[in-house]
Amino acid sequence: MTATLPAANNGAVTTSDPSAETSPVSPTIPESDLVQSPPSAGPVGALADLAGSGAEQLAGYSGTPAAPGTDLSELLRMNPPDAAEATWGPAPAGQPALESVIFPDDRVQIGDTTVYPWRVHSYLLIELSNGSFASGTGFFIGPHTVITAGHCVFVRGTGPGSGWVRSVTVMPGRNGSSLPFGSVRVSGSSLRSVQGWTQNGDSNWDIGALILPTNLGDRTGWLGFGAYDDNTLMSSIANIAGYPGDKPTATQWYHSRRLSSVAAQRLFYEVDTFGGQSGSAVYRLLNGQRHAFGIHTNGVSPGVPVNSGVRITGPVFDRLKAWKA
Amino acid sequence: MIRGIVRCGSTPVPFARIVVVTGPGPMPEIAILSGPDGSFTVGTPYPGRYLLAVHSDEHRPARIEVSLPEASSVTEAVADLEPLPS
Repeated sequence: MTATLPAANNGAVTTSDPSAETSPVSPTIPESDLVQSPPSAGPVGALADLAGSGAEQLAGYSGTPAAPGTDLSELLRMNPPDAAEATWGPAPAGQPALESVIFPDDRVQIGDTTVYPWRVHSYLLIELSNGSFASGTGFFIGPHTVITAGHCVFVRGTGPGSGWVRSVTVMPGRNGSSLPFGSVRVSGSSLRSVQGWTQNGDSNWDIGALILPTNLGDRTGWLGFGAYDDNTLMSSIANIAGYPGDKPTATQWYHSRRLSSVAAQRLFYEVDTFGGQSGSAVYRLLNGQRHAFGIHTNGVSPGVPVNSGVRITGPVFDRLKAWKA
Repeated sequence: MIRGIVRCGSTPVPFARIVVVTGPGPMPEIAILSGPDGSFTVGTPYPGRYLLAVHSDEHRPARIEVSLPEASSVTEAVADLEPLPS
């Protein structure tokens, strides 16, 4: 439900609908009323789900999903060892120790990013409002639309670089210095988010979109997306591919685990991630179909020793559907 | 805010990836890139301790821990990287 709030001092009127779209420039591209579409593998070269395990089949990837029933409360008690402790030894007293890469680090690098689904995942070079740069990850959901985290297009806070970013350069399937599908730079009205993030700073609405002027997604293919119930999610493998900053520059890495817990608007998982993977799809693989059910946004934090992302709920699904072009 | 520089000896290291590994509260999993002069800034929405990881393809990774008494505090940080053996 949308409730109109009193006019602000500057005469602007805002609404309390967190799913309402925002953009640095009033969008001039009309939103279409597309219905849900299944994923598209694009041109030939897609990987099949041969084993039907729910995880991608990759050479050298052990894929060891946690047993069902490992819930967040258990993980809170476990305080598992992490990769940093294995590398640098125990943290000094009082120093935060948990990390987003949970020991052992069994992430696997994607060698050939030109095949589906890896070419769907895109390295994002983000130019912040102060001219500095950051990196994140996004994924195609249609020929023109790349989904990412809200904080990859709008930086909360008042510090340098906050507000709408100047631009985002999308590099599908980037593999180090190789750009197999080139790059597309978007800015202004091609950057989208929602009021729940840009105005309210609600992490449940930390979502964003990049509307590309070209139909590059027809070459890469895209992921489907869906809103699923708790039981379906808890029985699914969470797959994440992206561009972690602790690996060689702009290389794509993959990992999977069962979900640890689901909340009404958030997902929690032990899938290993690192800074630079914000905006990655959290997706399921079933019968050869890949559907995103979340968007990765956060690593561990005090009290939450697992990684987390925005759950694609009904309202989030509707927003993504409206963005799909 | 954490205002820092990444360097190797006296040489600035551009395009290093700076990530908040853990902070006092939930932090976005974005990677900040150092500028041509090795400089970077990290927003700090909460007071408390921040552990940063600094990665560069030609250097050993480094970690920096800083503590801010207030979210609005500004602190300086330096990441001194060692080159990887050739």
